[in-house]
Amino acid sequence: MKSRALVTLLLLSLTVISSANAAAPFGPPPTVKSAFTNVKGQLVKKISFGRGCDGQTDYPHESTHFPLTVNVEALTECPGQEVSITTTISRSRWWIFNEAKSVSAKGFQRVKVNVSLPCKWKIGQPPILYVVISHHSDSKGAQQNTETKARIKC
Amino acid sequence: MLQKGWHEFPANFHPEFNFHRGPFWLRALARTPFFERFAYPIAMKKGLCELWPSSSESILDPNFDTTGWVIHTREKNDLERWIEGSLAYFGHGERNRTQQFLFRDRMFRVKKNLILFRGVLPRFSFTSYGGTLRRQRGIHRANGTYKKYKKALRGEHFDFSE
Repeated sequence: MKSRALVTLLLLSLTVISSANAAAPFGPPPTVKSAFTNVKGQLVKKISFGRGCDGQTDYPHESTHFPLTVNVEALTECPGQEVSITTTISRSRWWIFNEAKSVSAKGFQRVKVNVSLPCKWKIGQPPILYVVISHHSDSKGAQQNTETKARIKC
Repeated sequence: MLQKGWHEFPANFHPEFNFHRGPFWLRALARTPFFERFAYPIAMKKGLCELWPSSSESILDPNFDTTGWVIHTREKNDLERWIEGSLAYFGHGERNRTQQFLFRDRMFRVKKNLILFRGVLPRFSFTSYGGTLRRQRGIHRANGTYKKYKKALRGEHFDFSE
């Protein structure tokens, strides 16, 4: 009696395992449901970023206020401290011959810079890659970099 | 010939290609010079291509063919921005001396209004996806957060405020 129950249990578990394996190709590929998605799903609201000191760089975009320029904003903030920022926007061209422009600023608690480059895109060309890199620092000597990039028809 | 996902995406939205979630052969194709362009239409079919609004005011062009794209209506949250390297928090003492020496970002003042970072110098990537990965890793290495970045990609929990 006991052995019959054991055999039944074994057969049942084998059926479940094989059906799970068989079902896999028809469902969404397991790789799609990655760890990255879990992280996104679990931490939706703003997480604590150290002492509230952070630096960020926005995405470069075509300016609406000044047509035919590509524009980007970057920001450094740290309560009660002197902060500084240097931001460089560069337009990718052939290998190392990029066009670039930098802006630096210093301030207390919060400093924001705006960097722009004139457009060079022409109809029929693929979008141009713009890379923005910022160097943020505070008066205690902490330094961080941030970077964004975007392909824009500008 | 324009490949879907390779050249076409709407203004005020930026694409993100999650090849790391795809099969190995697709990642290999995406990192093969020239042939990389054929990986993008396949990635679209597999749902690995996302469009993120550049700002809260971004509106998707109604004429844009959205098939194959995963379109987000909100901007990236802080964690997602931190992972891609556009947001960083100040941390002290995260790097050891060797890391500080190797990955400190050096700035070169070329002209009065031009400062070049080591980060914008060419990094010898032959593909677009390879370049993106290299830049993300470079930023996190420079910031001393590379281990946390790898943890985030694996989906492990960690405390930013530590």
